[in-house]
Amino acid sequence: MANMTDQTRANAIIQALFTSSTTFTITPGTSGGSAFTMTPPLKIRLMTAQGTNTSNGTESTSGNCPGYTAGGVSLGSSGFAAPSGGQQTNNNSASWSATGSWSTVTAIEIWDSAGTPLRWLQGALTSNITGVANGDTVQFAVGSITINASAW
Amino acid sequence: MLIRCRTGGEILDVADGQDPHAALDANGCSHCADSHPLDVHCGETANSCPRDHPGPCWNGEGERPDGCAVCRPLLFIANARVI
Repeated sequence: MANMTDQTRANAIIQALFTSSTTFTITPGTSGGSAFTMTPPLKIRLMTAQGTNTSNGTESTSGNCPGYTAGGVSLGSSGFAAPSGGQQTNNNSASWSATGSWSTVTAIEIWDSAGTPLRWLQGALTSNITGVANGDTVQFAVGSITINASAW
Repeated sequence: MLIRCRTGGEILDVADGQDPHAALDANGCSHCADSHPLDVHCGETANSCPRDHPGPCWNGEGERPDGCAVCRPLLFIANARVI
């Protein structure tokens, strides 16, 4: 069985998490686990080494990717568009202007803006970003980051 | 890896390990450093450098004339799928 969850419910869950522009807390009922809070805006971080679903990757730094600042950049209010088919894409672009040569970037992570930010998503780039030099721009255009919950 | 001249134009897919700036150069992506016509883009031939050179800027020239440069800066077009 490829899909275990009703797609409408999956769409509702990911839209609540990744499209909301305001902070909200989900408080489960008895035996439902701990409450958790989502704090927009979401931020995209660049990784020189991809993490896993249980451990963070190695974030780019201003040292190995001049022009990048640790902590990433905001994906704006309502970071991701309304989902369709269990997938949604970013509503706003994100870009960096390199001020020197960059190490290879292989992956991204999506974090929230809590005082102690939480990591929500991680994934590899379609292609590594290599050879960035001073003056170049690295950009994720609108629609270039896909959240895929279609297999839930 | 998708790249193009930051000023616009054709998008090129560069293989991993290939210098993106050199890739553009090899594809005829060149322009006058200071004043090239807006319709000269990556992947096209820069046929004129109106300020400094009446002739070809890069294509067909054994040596790049002064005032011409490969397309810099570049725009790296990134895509990702997150889970």
